[in-house]
Amino acid sequence: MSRLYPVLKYGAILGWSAFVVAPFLWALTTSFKTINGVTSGPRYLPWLQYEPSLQGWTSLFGGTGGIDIVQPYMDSIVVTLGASAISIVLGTLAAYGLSRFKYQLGFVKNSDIVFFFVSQRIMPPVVLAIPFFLMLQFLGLLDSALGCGGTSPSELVGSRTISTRQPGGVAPSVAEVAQGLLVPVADPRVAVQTEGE
Amino acid sequence: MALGVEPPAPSSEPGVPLSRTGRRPGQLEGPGTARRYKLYFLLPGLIVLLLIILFPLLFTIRVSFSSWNVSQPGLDWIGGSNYERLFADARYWASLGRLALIAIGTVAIEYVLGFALALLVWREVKGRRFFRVLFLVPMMTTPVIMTVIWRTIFHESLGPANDVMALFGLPAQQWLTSSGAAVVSVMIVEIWQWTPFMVLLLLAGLLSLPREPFLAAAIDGAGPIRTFFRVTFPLMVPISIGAIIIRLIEASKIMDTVYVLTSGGPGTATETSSYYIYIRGLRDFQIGYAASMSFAYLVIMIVSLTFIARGLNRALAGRRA
Repeated sequence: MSRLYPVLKYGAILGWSAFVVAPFLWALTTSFKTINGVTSGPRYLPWLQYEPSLQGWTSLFGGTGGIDIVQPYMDSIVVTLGASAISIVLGTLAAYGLSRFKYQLGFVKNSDIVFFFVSQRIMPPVVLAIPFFLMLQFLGLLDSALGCGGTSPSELVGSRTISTRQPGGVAPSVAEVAQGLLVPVADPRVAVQTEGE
Repeated sequence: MALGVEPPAPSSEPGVPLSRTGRRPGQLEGPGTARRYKLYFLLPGLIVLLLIILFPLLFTIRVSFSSWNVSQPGLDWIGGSNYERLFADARYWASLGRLALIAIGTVAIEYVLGFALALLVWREVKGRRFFRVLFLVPMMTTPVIMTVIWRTIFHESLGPANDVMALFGLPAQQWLTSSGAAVVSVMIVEIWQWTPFMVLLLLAGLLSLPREPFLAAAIDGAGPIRTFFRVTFPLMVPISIGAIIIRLIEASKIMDTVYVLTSGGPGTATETSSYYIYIRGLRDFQIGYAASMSFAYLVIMIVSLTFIARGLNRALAGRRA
């Protein structure tokens, strides 16, 4: 048992690491393939199994038939930085207040306010997709960074409130911030908004 | 902020007189001042949330009683006939059941895997800093983009997934085109992406555990398995409940993975509620009907998550006693 244990331990760690890394390696090797390399079955090793080419990378950086990658990245940066800044300020203020003071408004107490914040996380984005879509259409903000930036904090404020109240919450909140930098870009609403153009 | 250095005293509790001890002069003049002061923390977030959540939510409820669609845009009043249609819509209830299966299944697997991985990199492991970071990488990537990569991996003849199956002597699968395997594929992508979140929360919990109970267990001669079930796991119950609930909430919103990986297919085999609402609302443009589905979905989610949270609390905390 005691001699077998380290083998099992490192085996499990390495196994999971391989599972984690595999998609990235697959994307990396695929990025150097031409059409022939992609359509001739699964190939992994350049030079041995397929002839590598820089075709994909050159077209990414302004080669022939290239696409504009600068503008989408700028949009992402504007939306995420704006949304994160707003939600961090509002979320930390509210979380600090809720953990430090007792609020009472009629029958509404701290725990009810916390539940209200957290319930914003329960609400799936699609519930609000339709009113947001119509609101932004009405305001002429459809398919604009301002519209995306305005809708993302609603989700992020909720998440910030959860994470700062978690036991041992420092690490989760750091990760949430990092995640928040990526989430709005992937938010289905963004796709929804651009589709409705 | 001077407030931060004060101990969390009952001084701000309404109705309770302020204690004079441990308070510097000129700070928190009286209960009235304290009450106004503390509102400045809460109100900005609360007002913003009310503006961008509550108003659209009320609007959704109103729209759900209208027949707004692509040919007749506008807010008329048709009573509850959208909800009548909803109760007869087998596809909606099937999508909810599918969502429950996928969400609960993935979160259960993620919890077990996440706990195991967090335990593995908790203590004496070579390169644990490296592995801790590596384990968190999938969570930091964009779901849509990683799902595109996963879709190429699951390709029947051109992707590596079937290569790996052959390596273990297993038959090739139609990952995205047979209904059972498509559900498994969606779950694999979800597990790949979100187990790191479990690892993060549970590792943070493990690292913040006190040392004394472990010392006591070691002195009493408890082995590793007994230490886990009698010390580690009971101490981890609160954070486990928190982690599971947060992941359940997130998992029930699954949409982008389905959208990119299978588009709900084959047929409706991987169609979850969010995706079905999206199809009805923003593709078919049946705004009124989609609004009623959204609202019903929200109510169902809040009720079921409340019950799940309560059940988890009882099951896990009861074990501790």
